[in-house]
Amino acid sequence: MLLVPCPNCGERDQSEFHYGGEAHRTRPTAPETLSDDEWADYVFMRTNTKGVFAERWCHTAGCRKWFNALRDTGSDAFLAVYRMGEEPPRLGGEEKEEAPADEAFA
Amino acid sequence: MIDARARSPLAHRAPLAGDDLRLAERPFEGLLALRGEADELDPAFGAATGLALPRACRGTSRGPGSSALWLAPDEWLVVTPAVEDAARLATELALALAGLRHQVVDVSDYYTVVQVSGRATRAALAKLVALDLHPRAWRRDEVLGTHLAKAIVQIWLVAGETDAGGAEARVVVRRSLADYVWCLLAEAGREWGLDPQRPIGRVRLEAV
Ligand SMILES: [Zn+2]
Repeated sequence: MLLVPCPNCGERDQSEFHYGGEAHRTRPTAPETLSDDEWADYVFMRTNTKGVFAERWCHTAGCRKWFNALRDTGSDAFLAVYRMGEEPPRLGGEEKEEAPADEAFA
Repeated sequence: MIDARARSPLAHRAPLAGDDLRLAERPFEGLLALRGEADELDPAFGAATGLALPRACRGTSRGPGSSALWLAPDEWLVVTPAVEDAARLATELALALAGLRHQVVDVSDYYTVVQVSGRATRAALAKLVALDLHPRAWRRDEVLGTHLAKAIVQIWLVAGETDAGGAEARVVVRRSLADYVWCLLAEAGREWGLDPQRPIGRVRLEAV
């Protein structure tokens, strides 16, 4: 069980939250001009990062607000939370850079 | 006046009393949901109700009649002791907040309030709530929006152990989950002498 740091309510049990998947995915402005591959890429493809990952959470059983979080998907540690619409904060130099998993298969 | 046909969500439950724990419904409390920007609404809201809008999680402000509970940075629950006051207050707020971007909805019918009181108040609630309810962590006049077992509730500590009447908490719960919460609280209170309650489940309630 994770303790999720809600920016409004503080640390709460994961069961109070709804997970919203990868953050900062912008809906294409003119979806009718996309090819099927491009549309499928927007709808289905996520980066599946191992390491620092920007994702959305909603505190459904508390303040019912959405927010963004940076979580290390390897250790499950929450590194930062920030509001919807904000850029991910720059983290201090502590976290180790991990090569994106995709590159191993390139 | 309350409509004579009105039936509270827990009308089929009698108050329970044990050694250090009591359970009772507070039927027909007036509840208003208020939404908007705190800075924008606060002066007019204060003038109409005499209450300040709580600005942070857990915050409440209590007046002689009504109280305001923090639900979210832009959302509050205004509680008045009687449902007829809610209708009056909703009209007053609509006038006071006219021209400001806001929403006031009378949600008295959506919820009921379960009163948990006695020395074992915290201990009984702690069996069903994941948050720390120790006196150090949950103080008088603090409201917590959280899960009580599977139900989403607000639990509001209106009196602490050192107050004259002893500890008292109020659980604001959706009416469809009221019986579930009531039975669980009774179950949690069995070690303090509360009678076990049989959930009504899907049985349709007979009209009275
Ligand atoms: Zn929250």
